[in-house]
Amino acid sequence: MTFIQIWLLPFALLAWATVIAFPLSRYMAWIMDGKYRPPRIFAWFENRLDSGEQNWKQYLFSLLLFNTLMFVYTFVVLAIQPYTPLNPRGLTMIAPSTIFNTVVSFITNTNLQHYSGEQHLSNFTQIFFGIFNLFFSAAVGLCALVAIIRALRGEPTVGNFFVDIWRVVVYMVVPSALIFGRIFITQGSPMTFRTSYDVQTVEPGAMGTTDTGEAKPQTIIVGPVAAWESMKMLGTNGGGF
Amino acid sequence: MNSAHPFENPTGFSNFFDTYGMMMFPFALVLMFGRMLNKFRHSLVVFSVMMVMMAGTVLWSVYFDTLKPNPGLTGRSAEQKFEVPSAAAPGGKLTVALPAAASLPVEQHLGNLEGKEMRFGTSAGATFDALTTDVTCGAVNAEEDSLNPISGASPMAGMWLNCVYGGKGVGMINMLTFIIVGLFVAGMMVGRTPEYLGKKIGAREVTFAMIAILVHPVFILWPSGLFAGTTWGMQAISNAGAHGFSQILYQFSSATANNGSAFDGLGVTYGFWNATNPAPSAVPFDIAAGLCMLFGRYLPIIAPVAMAASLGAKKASPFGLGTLRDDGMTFGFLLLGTVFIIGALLFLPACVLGPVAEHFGPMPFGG
Repeated sequence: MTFIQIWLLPFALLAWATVIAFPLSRYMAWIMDGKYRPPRIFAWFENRLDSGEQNWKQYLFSLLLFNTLMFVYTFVVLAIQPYTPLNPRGLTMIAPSTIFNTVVSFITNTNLQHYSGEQHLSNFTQIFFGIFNLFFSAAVGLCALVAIIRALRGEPTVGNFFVDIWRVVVYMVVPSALIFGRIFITQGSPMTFRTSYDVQTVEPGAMGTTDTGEAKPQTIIVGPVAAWESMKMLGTNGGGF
Repeated sequence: MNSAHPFENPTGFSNFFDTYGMMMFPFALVLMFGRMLNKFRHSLVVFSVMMVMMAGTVLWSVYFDTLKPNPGLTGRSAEQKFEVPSAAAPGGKLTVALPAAASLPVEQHLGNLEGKEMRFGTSAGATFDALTTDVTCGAVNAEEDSLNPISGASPMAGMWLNCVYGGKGVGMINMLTFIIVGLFVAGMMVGRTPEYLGKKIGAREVTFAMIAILVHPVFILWPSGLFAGTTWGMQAISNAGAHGFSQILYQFSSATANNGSAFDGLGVTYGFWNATNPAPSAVPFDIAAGLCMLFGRYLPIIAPVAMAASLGAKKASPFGLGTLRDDGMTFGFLLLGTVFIIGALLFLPACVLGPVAEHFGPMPFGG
């Protein structure tokens, strides 16, 4: 085993990430300083969201309020799993303590998982609980940093939280997630609303046999994996599908 | 299992983008900090400090995992004897012998291959594990439980420092608190009022910075101690001794650092509400880890924002002869030293009880 085989990957990663960081940081500073001209449809949304300049206490209050709403919304989505569509396996509710842990884990961008995604969550829950949080929890941390930068510049107000989170999600996170999602799809990640496939195993009977002696099929769980995967990595979330 | 699953990470090509994806924004955010403050050289120094630490964790993890055999599989050529104090034994000393053992017949010239996804190569797992905790991502493409013991210290160090690029935004915020504390200490040493961006750092700023820094060890070490000392932890771990302690320590490090990776093997899954056979400690772990995540997330966001607001409102003083430049080597080493010393003071004892103790093999402690 040669030197190259071991060290090429780590060094290529560090070098590549450093090189891209220079132009990307310029773009991000340009967006967060509000120097861009949004397309008309986006500008309309931005004007609706803009509730005026906030001082740091108002900004933090908005941030915490937004997280509280995320907590309530995602808690409800997890709790009503048995009654939601896209659940052909008839999965029931996971334990309340695990729901608390999971919801907190996803809104804080931690994504510690005390459940097993494939086993315990339906595709509806994965999309409206999981992918929702993957996008927004990452954006919250970035907004906090931007508020700190503006405060350090000595400005009396630190911007508007709702406009900031809109900028982060729409101009940074969504475009990059689309590109990465596309890469994962070309490599073979599933991207579908279908829940599972029943396939015959290569070795007949590897999953056991039924009472009548027929080989049992293997159930392969699929879902919107490519979308999940791209945002999981880009938002430094890290919870598996 | 997460990024080792062929659906989530089908090829070596997708593995590169998987690993790069989590580094993209944290790297750029550090430079964005400098661009928005018009202090680009300052952010380059911070970037370099983080790069040194990140390269260190990756080198550590790969060196001890890919280039070293698994110590659990290698044998002992000769019998080893330990003398341990014991009240029951005559003379107060008891000799414990570890017999010689043949190594298991496993080919190990490729390093420790247990728990690795071989589609990506031998070093991809160790690299990913080190990077994922540095940038507080928490996805894994190799089982962290199966890393060589001393190599497992590298992912933990990433979470304990929590500022080696760090998560989106919060990593740079954590680094900012280290910058304030470092400048404060340096100011005390030379007897000048410390300044950052030309503004004087006062008691209020240092108080807020210390709150943000101390939340981290409090919510890692206290619950780890609580669970390691009670049946809650004992029922959940799947290995006895130092490795079991590592499992508990990792769980709370991961929760408080908002990382989310798991040193698997801990029985914490309750499953469905009507599950017939849930893990016995699932509920205490769910709630304790949940609270750690809440405090570990919001206090280190609230305190630094208050700190920045208080610092930013001050009048900037002109740059003088005795001012410490924030864009030079001196500042870089000061920052690196601050992070290392604070990190080591807080977490080295726990590290010695977990990965380091496991690395040195079974140690009889008397009894």
